[in-house]
Amino acid sequence: MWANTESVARRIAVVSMPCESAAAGLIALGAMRRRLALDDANDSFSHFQRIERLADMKEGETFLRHNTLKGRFALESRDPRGFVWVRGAHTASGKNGPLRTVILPSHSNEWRFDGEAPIQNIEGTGLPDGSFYGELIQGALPAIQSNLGTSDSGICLAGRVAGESVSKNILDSIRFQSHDRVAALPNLLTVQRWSPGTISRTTFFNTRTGQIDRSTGCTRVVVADGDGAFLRVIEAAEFRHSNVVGVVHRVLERDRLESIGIKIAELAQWYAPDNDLLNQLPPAPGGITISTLKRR
Amino acid sequence: MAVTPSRVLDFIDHNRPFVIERREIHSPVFSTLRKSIRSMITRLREGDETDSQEVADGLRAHLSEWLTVPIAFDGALLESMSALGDADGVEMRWGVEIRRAYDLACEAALTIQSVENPARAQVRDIVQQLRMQENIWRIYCHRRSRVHFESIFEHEPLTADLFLHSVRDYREAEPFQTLIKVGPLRSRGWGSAPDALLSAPRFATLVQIVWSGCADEEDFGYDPVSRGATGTGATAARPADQQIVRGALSWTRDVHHYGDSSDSGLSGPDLDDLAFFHELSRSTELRRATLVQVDEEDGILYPPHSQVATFDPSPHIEDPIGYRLPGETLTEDMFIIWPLLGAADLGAIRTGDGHYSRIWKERLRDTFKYTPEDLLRRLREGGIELRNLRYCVRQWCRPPSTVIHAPQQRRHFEILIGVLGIDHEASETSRALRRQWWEYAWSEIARARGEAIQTGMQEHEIIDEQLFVILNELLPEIRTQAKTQSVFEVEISPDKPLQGGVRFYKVRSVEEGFLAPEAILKVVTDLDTVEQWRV
Repeated sequence: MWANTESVARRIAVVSMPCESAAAGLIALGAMRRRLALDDANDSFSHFQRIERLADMKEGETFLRHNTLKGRFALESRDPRGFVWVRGAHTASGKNGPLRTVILPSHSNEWRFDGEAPIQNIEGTGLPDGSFYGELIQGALPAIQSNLGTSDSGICLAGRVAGESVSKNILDSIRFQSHDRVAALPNLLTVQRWSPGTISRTTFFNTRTGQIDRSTGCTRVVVADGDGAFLRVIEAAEFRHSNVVGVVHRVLERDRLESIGIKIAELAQWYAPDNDLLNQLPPAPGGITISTLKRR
Repeated sequence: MAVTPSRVLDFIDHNRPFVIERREIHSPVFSTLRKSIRSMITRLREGDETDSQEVADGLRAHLSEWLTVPIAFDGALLESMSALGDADGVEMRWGVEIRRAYDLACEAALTIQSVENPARAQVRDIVQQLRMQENIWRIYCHRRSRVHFESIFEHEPLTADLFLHSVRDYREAEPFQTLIKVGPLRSRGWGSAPDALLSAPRFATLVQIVWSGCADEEDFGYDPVSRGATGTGATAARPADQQIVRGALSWTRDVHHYGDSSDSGLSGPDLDDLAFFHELSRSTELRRATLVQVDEEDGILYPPHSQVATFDPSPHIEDPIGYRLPGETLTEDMFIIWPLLGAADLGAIRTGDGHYSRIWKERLRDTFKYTPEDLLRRLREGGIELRNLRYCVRQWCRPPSTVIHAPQQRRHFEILIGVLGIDHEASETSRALRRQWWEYAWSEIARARGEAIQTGMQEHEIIDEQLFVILNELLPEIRTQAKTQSVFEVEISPDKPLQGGVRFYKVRSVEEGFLAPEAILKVVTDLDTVEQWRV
């Protein structure tokens, strides 16, 4: 529901479960499946969108670097025709002053943010379990064929504090069957390290080490698995513009439950309950409680 | 995941609304006992004397246990009053009002021995019913309370699988029909239980046996999303601009009264003693702590957010050696890493563990046995101002086990040895010694505790960093030992930068709900002593 929204207001949801579960992985899969049906839901386009977004922001300066052109380039505001321009940060020795050039969507991958790694287009074969995605959600829009062959970092799964292998083991317990074929949840998520050789459409944030497997700055939705992951994701600079879904369970010590409650209470200063969104959701099974907040 | 989420969600779906059957017990004699002890505690705490505080703490711990555990009403109740001495002594020391309360408490404790504890009768009654119905049921209680439940059924023993003792036990339990719980529903302290009992039930009916006046915590069943909004139906509507909560569970309460509620002993109905004690503990300078139990008798209290050096024996785990947070990333079946690093070269005498401790502990036991009051007085005059000195001395008397139980502060230990009058014998050998007797004994204690006492030794963090590198090299040996032993040691090879060894304690349980003084934190302490800091 959030993955395709153009709303700039950040949303935070907490899903409270009555037991341990693989719900975070399932939610991430649902969000990833949603993006398969969206035009331009891939890393290249997301990278260009990020450049556009920063060009529209008036505060501070943003610098980029090019694969072949030397030096830093300052990002300028979009012109009336909607083109994004950059200007060389240092005076060139030539007669014409600093170089000024436009960034086109088709070549945006040649540009990277100063201080960040170049945009990674995960190379590999297309999604191996393509047919599963078609049958995953009844009534869902069909996946766009080109998306099945391109990487995307719009959805991030933040693993459990206990570590990546623990997170993966939990998700491994969920299997999907289509006719005579079976696919495990980690494979369908296509996290890069769990499905080497194929393109990746979900990034993984290792909560234990604080590292994301590929940093693009384009995460639209991050799904946090567990209370520890939720609390770290909320504070992480990497996700300060991302929507967050925290999936926690309640069979925990009081201190840990209160840490989540305190965080939700703190967020209430800047966020309001998003009951409209909650009312659109189908009824959850008994014992699953959900809280949704939207930036004021 | 021991239980599948589908099983839990199906169970919840088919058993709503859930039921709490509250069996409230009234007993005029027990009310008198409670009120008298409460009155004594209140007055004892008004004084400044550390000894009075210590007696008050002891009484508080006893009464808290009686209210949350089905103990037998026997001579132990009267014995618990013995810490105050005889009646005349009580009056001389604390005045006539405490004497009056003391007399009433002793009389009630004596009278009550003639009847069976009604809480035990209730437990027997419900268990017999459940057994006849061939119901699947469990008992939730603290690990140390289990023996009291077992003593009710000496001829039809309760099997271990009937007990749940921790959040983890509960998390791994298959759904069942009935849960038995003695005492009010509290998230911390005496009689505490997981909030999940109400917010994520794995059973259809909770049979709760409580003494009159003992109320459940208002927000027990806390869910950070619905903030305790259980019992308001499937959709709990809130005022405008408040979050709608879907899926909250509802409970129905069925209260039954047992015993004589017409006469509550001294004037008025029973008050909530546990809530009263909780308020008292908040007013003292204590720190919140989490107990990590490491064997049958010992545990370690850690303050909040402690980074504890640990070993996780799970196969294929990332970073098996590392820092973890108790209750969060440090859980049962992991091992606490307890360095036993080399002490300074103290000169002519290098003894094995226990040489000095045997000497001073024997002297301490004798002195405490024959002249306890005189010993306590001299220790206080010497400068040991511990609030719970009597308990501490009892603990110091214990024989060395995995650690040498001794004062936490070097200064206190020096005073203790001085009061006991132990020194080197006046021989040629002793004249050659460079340090005083107590210093050798202290180094033995420090070594047992794993403290780095060499002058100029690096900070603990640096030591840990080096230690982790060494332990990672020893992982195969550590893993082998961890498979078969709960407490074991590994030696560090002499060519390494750190000398000595490391002890590993398997974590039996992790439990919150303690308020403890600074001096007792991060040291191995016996559970009896720890109990007094439970809130």
